Amino acid sequence: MLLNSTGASVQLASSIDPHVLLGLAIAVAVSIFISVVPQTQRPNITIVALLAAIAYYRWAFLGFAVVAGIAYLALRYLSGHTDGAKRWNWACGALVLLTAVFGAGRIWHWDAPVGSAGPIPLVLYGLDMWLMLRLVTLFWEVGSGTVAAPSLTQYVLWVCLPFTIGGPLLRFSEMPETVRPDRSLWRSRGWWAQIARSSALLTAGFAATLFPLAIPAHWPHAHVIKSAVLTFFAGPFGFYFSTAGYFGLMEQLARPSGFGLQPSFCHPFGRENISVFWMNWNRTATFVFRDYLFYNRWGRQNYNVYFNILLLFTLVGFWHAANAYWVLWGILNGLLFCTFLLWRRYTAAAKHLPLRGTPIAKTAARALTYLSVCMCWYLPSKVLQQLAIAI
Amino acid sequence: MTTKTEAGIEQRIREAIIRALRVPGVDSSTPLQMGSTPGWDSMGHMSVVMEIEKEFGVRLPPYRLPELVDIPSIAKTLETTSPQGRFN
Repeated sequence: MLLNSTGASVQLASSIDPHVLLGLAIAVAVSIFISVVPQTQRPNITIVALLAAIAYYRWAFLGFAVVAGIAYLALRYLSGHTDGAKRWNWACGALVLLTAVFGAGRIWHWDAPVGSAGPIPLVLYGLDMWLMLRLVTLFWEVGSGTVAAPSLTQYVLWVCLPFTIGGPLLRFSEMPETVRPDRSLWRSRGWWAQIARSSALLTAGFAATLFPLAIPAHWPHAHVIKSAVLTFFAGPFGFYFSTAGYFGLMEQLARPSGFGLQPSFCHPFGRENISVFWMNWNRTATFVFRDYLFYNRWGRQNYNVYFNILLLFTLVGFWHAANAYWVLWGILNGLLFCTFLLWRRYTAAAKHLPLRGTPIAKTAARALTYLSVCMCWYLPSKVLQQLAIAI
Repeated sequence: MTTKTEAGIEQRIREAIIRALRVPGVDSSTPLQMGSTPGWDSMGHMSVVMEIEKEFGVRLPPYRLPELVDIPSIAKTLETTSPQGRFN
């Protein structure tokens, strides 16, 4: 998965991932199959999604099925509570447990094979970042009574949906009640233009990661230039383009099959502050963190925005991967966001600020936001490098 | 059709939002909506929530907070929330 980087920097995350290409190939095949083949001549849509998940996970499918199956049983138990307060308390407990399992699974690599059945590795646990997020939203929605617990077929379709299996996110409450494929989109110019745009983004993302490789070939001693290009251009844009391209393609491929996915990326670079940047970056996931963590008062009357921001970003970092790089990345983003809030509070109170509202100030704010975002990706790897040298 | 009581509730919500966000120069015809009203972003949202709770003496459960994006949605949520913030 694009965001599931365990490498030491974001540059590595945006290199060509065979899982991305596999996910795309499956999504294309399913989109064509569901929307073009008449309903009477193809298997049920749930079976199609299940087969797509098997093709996507391959030998890791058993682990995915075990986790998804246990979660389903827990959801059925949860929905049995008619008292709303009790159901919500159980849901909160389930969410804590799910988070603990996700964390432990990542730290101790529970998704590693425990044996083999002939040539096939035996994996009994699989909880990747997107399945984790999907399950969190479902426990939240069922626990709060927003939706009833899904039937088994609804659940299998939702959890195995090839357009969301490796991101972006479709909350269960956003699933269509009746899936109505729309084959007319295959003849729509607008739809093809969106497909072309997302494909171009994905290609540009891959190309951006290859670009720095050309620098040492031509200028072998240009270490600073290479580092600057990686930090401020190839890394961020490679990551953004490839992820936005992949998610954009999934959004478009889902449409003929009858599923509407919310847009994930809305031009996040060049925004005026870090808050607006995050409002437009990987929105389907970001909004879950905002709705469930940022707005949370943890049962108290008061609300501590700084605590919530630091917790939120640390967990977002951990959600990406259980390693020091991503946790540091999360803490840095949290600190950056808190700094922005303090600055906003200060400027709101200050009566006269030089250049306030001028084009220069606005341009400087956009540039500073971009540089700060880049530094949050770059600094953790630098800090860890220095620590490794010191030790 | 909006009844007199509903109109009264909506007016109280409007005033609470204006107090929370300290929006200057807002008259009764200006629509108030998260994302378009100045200051009502993710950060300003919690100020709005707490001012609404204070105004109506309720405690809103966490899962209702993302739904409160304008006056009608707040009024609808308040209808189904008892003073203790329990479930209905």
